[in-house]
Amino acid sequence: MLKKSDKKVLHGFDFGMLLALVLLLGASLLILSTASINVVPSDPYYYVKNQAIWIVTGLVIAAVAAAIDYEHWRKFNWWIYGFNIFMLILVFLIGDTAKGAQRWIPLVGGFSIQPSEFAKVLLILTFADFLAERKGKLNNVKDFIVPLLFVLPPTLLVFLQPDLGTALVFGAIFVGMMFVAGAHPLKFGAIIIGAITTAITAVYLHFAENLPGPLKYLEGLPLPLEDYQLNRLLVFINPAADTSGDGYHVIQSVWAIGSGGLWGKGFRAGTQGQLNFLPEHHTDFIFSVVGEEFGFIGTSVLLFIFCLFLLRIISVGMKARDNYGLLITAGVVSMLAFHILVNVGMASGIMPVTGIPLPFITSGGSSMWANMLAVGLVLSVNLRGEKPMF
Amino acid sequence: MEKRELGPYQRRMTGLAIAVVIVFLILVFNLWRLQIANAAYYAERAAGNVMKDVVTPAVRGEIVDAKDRVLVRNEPNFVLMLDWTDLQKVNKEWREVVAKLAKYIKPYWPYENQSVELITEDIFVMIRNQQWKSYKPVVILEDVPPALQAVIAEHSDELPGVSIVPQPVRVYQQGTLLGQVLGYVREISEQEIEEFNKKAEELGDSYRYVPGDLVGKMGVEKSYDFWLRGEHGIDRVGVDIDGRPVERVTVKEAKPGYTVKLTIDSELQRVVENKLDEIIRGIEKKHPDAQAGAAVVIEVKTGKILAMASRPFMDPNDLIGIISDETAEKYFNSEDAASFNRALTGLYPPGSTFKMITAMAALEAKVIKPEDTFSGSYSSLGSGGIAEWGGNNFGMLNLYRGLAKSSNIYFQIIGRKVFEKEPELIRKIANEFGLGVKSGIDIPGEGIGIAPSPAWKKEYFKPYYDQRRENQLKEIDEKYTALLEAAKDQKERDKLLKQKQNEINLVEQDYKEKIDFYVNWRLFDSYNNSIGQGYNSYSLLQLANYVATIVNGGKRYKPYVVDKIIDPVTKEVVFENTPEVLNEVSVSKENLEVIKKAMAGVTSGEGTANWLFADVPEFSGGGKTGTAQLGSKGTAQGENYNGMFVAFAPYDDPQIAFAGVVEYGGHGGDTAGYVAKEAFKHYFGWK
Repeated sequence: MLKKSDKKVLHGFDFGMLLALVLLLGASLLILSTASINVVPSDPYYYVKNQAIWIVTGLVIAAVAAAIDYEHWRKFNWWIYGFNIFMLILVFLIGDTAKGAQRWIPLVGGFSIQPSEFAKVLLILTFADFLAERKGKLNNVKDFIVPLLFVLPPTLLVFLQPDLGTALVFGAIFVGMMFVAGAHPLKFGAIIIGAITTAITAVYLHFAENLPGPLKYLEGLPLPLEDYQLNRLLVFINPAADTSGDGYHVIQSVWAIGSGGLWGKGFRAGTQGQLNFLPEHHTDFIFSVVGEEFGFIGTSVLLFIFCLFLLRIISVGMKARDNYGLLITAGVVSMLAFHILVNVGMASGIMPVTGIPLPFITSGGSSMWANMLAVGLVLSVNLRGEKPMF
Repeated sequence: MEKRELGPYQRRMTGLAIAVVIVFLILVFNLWRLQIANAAYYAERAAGNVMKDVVTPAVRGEIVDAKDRVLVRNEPNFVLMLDWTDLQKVNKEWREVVAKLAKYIKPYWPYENQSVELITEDIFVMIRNQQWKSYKPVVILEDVPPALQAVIAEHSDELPGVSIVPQPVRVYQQGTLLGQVLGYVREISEQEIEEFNKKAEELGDSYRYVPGDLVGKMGVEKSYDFWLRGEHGIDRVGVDIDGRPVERVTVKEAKPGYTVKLTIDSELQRVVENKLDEIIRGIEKKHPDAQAGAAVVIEVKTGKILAMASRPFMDPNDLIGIISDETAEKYFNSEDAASFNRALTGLYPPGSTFKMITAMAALEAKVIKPEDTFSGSYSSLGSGGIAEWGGNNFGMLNLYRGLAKSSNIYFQIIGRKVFEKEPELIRKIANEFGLGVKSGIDIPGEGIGIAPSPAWKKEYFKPYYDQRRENQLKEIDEKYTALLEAAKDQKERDKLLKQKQNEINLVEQDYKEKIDFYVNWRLFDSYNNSIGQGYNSYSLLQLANYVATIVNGGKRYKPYVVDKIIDPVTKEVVFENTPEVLNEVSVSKENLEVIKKAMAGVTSGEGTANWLFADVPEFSGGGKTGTAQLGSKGTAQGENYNGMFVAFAPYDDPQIAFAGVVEYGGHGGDTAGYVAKEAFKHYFGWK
């Protein structure tokens, strides 16, 4: 039984969002219990158990974040921003290297955390305050420069790890929050499209051969990315031509999803995942297992829950007490939507292989905690937002 | 915080919601496309998804000479293959496919006028022969000409499972040149795969051999296999339900082998081989047995081998693929087997070329001074000993004249003195110069030989006579134990015991005699050994290195034939052999100079090879002729001798040393000597 005071607090509580979150967390355990069963032969439930621990601890983080009035963070905004930068620099100094990138900071007891996961949430928090102060002052191109400079340092640090995927997430957060904060839609849109076009042209020139006339001086245009990274980005266009192995991953993933059909092959009955044709099937390509074993019904239900979750967050934002709270929710939505788009798109062959996780589903502690922190912030906005009028 | 204030933001939030919905619609639409619209297609793909890892062979590294001339490279050989396991899956009437194939390849079939039916039968036989490794496609035809390639490509629809694949073939560009040093490669056997992989595992080498891999069987190909083989790549081939490859993804690119650069100058090698061949052809008329010879040229200040020749020559190209009985006879089974590297593995009695060791031992033991003279008459030996060639008497001899004339008497006199004073010294010094010990050269199969001494003789022969005696005594004991048991009375037993003692005494006496003659060091051993006869036997490589050690001031280098290993793509040097001093000799610098000077006397003045360089005024240096009994065929009689010759040049600051042998070549100077002369002329650029 709830006390009267509790009732008051919970009055505006968004139960729809909470329900969607619970469903996602449950789905995560269910999916991991099939996807990771053949990864650690001595302990088939190794990843499930870990994920359960991360979920429980993550919920504590969310509860704490929800309990604190988000307005308090504004006072420490530049401290948070500084802390974020500090953590990202720390990765270079004491970080562990995995698969060619420095991403991890080792902690006691063999644990390690990935600051770039938290950096996304901290960026949302700080950028929200920054933009809230500039309400109505984002009407021309010159006004876009200062916000860009705000986002650039953490983005560059992540990019240099190198973690291209997360750097792109930062970009998505920037674009989403700028849009909601009132950036002039035509001017801002033009700049974004221009930037994307420039990037594509630069990549094209980097690999170009035998260009006509003076264009040939632009052949092999140097880029701040290694060729293997660029190849991974481009591999989804023609996976069969790839030689690094990523093309093989994409082919197998698409086959897995496609072969699932409408109803799927059934729980733990997917040959692609269970027979290891599918690589990284408990991490980056976990969505392929959903597709193979639970079919179109499974994938669309999962995506529906995700969609519902994001729309509920937007609804929370629209009822926020102030711009700051609203912008926090906009940032969280941008972050999660981009993650889902790129991860699911990668598994189904329409997005580059960037190795960013599927929120709440992919096995991983840092990612779970960071997402839970984001959920906690949204809940804080929710609990202090506008109450329904009777 | 008024609601109105939030107004425009909320409109933007609605926009964001629309964007989110669009994102999900795109994702769901794409999933619908994969899982509903094309579900059957992908289901088929995944169901037949037997991913096979196919090994793509690495191109073996090239071998080049010291001047970067290519000696060994690879050429594509187009091979027609039939993957009959796939064929059976595809087509129940696969026998008809084979019949069709037979029709197309008839004009190119090695046996002319064979009917299509017979060719079909032949192909079936090939398939049957390979049934125990059915995973491998059967090779139907090698060296497929372009015309047939076109025909097969045109009819590929009717010929499932048939493919034409380029296979790299090792080409030994220069034929027989340097054959035994280069070695050859053959496909690894099933047994070797297991053995080699076990060894690789033990060494922590990640490479794993697979069927079809070529492995070096001899020479540089064998000892540098690790560098030459490269690393095979892996293609992951996705095959559909029908076994047809639908996707081919290179998981790992094959890495070509490294280029191996030799210390050998192939032009010098050619000069040495040609001259050796010419000399032996000349002698063949007189001695039909004269077929074999060998020579080594070594750089005295590094141990680099500049040339290493062995006749009969070996063409590694002959040892690729199927070997005929004829080829096997020529290379492996005949008395003059061509795969035998006489310069490296062959062991020869050094004859008079050993005399420098005797001289150095005598000087070191201080039993003579270089100027001490002895009479060259046979009687000065006292008792026994070997006479001079042709019963000559050279008169009064000191060390210089003794070596120049190659006097057996002189060296037997001084050798005997050494053995009497320090019995193990000659062996010790021979070993210091690399005679009778491992040289550590970087190709397999070197002969070690024997540098004899009293201790060696005892150690080598005594166990045999000890064992023999023990067996005989045991036999007697057993015999009499049985007899004694069967004996009727004491009288008979006494008689038997007496008999037994007699037999034991006989054995003991025989043992003593044998030990005295075969195990104890005798005077004739001292005499034989002093002039390089007797048990002495060394490889030409050792002899060349021995001369090099005399003239470079007493440093014995480890000889080597591979200079460096080079990455074929980046041209980076990944491995380099550097000169390595194995030991410094105990002979004093002064005494080494004396020997060097004495060797110069051999090729000048009244030396045994004084005529050899008479027409080459540029020559300075020295040498030593040698004539040793016992040819490799064991038919040494009368004039059947091996001609040996060792030399160095120039006299001041010597650069190269030579050792050569011509089996049945008589005196060394006029056979192997000419080879040395040609080698020096080429190396120093003399006309």
